Amino acid sequence: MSDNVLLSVKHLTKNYVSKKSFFGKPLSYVHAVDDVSLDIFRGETLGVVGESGCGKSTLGRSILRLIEPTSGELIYNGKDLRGLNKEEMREMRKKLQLIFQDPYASLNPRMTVLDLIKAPLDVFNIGTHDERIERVLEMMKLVGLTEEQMNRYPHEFSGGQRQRIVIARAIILSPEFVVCDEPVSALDVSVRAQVLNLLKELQAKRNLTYMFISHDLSVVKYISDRIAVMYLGRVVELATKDALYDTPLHPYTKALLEAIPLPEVGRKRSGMQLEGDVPSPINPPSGCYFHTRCPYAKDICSKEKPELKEGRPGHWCACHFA
Amino acid sequence: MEKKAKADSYYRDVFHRFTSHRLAMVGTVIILIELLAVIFLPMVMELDPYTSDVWAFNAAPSKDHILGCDDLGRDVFARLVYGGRVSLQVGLISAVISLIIGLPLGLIAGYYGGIWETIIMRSADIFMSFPSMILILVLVAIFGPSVWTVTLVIGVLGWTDFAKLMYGNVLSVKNKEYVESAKAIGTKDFRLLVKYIIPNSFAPVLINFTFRTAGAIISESSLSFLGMGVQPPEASWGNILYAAQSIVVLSQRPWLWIPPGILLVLTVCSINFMGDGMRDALDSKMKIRK
Repeated sequence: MSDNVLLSVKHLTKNYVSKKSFFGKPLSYVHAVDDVSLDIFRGETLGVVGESGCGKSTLGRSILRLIEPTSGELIYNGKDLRGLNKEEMREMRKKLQLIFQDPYASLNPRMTVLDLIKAPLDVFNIGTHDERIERVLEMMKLVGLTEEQMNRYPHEFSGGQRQRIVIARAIILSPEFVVCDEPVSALDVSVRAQVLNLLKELQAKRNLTYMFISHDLSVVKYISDRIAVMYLGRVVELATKDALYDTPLHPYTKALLEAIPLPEVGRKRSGMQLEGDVPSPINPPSGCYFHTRCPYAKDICSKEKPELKEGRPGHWCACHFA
Repeated sequence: MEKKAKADSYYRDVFHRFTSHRLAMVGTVIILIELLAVIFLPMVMELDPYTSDVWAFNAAPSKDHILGCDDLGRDVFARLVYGGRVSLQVGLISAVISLIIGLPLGLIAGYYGGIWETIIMRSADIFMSFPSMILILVLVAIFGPSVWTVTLVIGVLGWTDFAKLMYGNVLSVKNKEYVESAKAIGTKDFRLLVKYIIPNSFAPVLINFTFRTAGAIISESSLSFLGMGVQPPEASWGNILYAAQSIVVLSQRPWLWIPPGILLVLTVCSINFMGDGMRDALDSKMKIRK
């Protein structure tokens, strides 16, 4: 199993200083990502879900070192990414890519589609001018864009088409690992499925490994093999898609699944519903971060921090009672 | 071949949008006419801004002197043409100097932040907290008034505009997702600055450049009007206006001050209109006006 691991995240933490004293000494921190450990297997799609502000995007960006993590290890193919210097990390970016949430914001408005998709080749100086253009055309065809669109500017495209441009740019260097940060959240429901299917298709064709970040449980369910649930910067449950949806162990996961709206007349909410807000990540609750909202909370929950344990084979959960 | 032509279409669009902006075109035509006039008129006409016509002290416009003569009998039209050379030159060159100093400083302050930001932006604050006219007067008094000191002083003191503008733009652009996405594909700092940040901050800088040019022309004229700028016998629009300090001239010899005054206003307005036109033209999201 372990040689199948592409990327192993170990105790990854990212703190932001939220308040400084007059002399610049940090007084308090926001714990955006708090001691996250997980493995991502070759060729799989790992979904990451959670409410907004739970640190999913920070996790994705820290893994690619677009945000420098505070501590932890990122073992990629046996090498620690955090041990690489700037130039080595730059070289590494050929293998690691990111697809952004908002295709309206993630394309430079001053560049044509050709230049946008070609940019990674230009940056790494790959191939001759003609070869690069040929490669771009190949990518455009792959993601469903036509050759005539090559010299247009991003503002001339619809959201779905722009996301195709973003995808084409992300895969032109044949990466191994792609972090998809809510790639369909900004899109109309009607084009979501198209883009999701495109991602799936590309994964099969080019042997990609995805980390798919989303707040939308139905989207995550559709695309993922395994799913990690995050709450306040921590992973509270990690399991295969079926195990997670059929037999959720963590109360938070149960509550999330309960909250999925179903198109069914007169359906009653059977299980639990969450009340209150997510506590502030500046002063997270003691013990289990979820105990303030958990209907099953006992004394131990506010005192001891539950570890992420393998409750059943391949099904990890951080709860004292799971 | 065809691909190449299409790739230029952005600039063609910009050009098209600019030419369909009416006021900007009026401004451009006026500035072009002025430039052509001050450059080529002395070659095709016999213009002498320095020699006194002893028969024509304070002469009103006539066939010999179409805009009359000043108190020393020098031809006003000739002085306007030569003065225009000086005024436009001071305006343009000092704006270029401001740009060359301010743009990189603003870029560094915004992009690298930290200690750079503190040093550069706080010095800009200090520069801006001096009343610029007084500072210019003091510097000109120290270095002696001449075309080049005036240009240099106005130019150097103008860097704060560009630095602040560029700084603000970089701050907003560098947090855009497309910059992050460029980092994600391994783009180096220099390329990021040149291909992503500067092009996306270019429009406001260009517009500010036009306003800076207009402002510098006004500064030069004010200085010359106060006698601290371009020194006679050399002409500039400002020191032609110097004559209007006398009430006699103001009330009885309008040919001495109305033409340079109109030229100044016209030039400054035209440059500002060009700036407005450029702003609209460079905004790629603007539709082409029919």
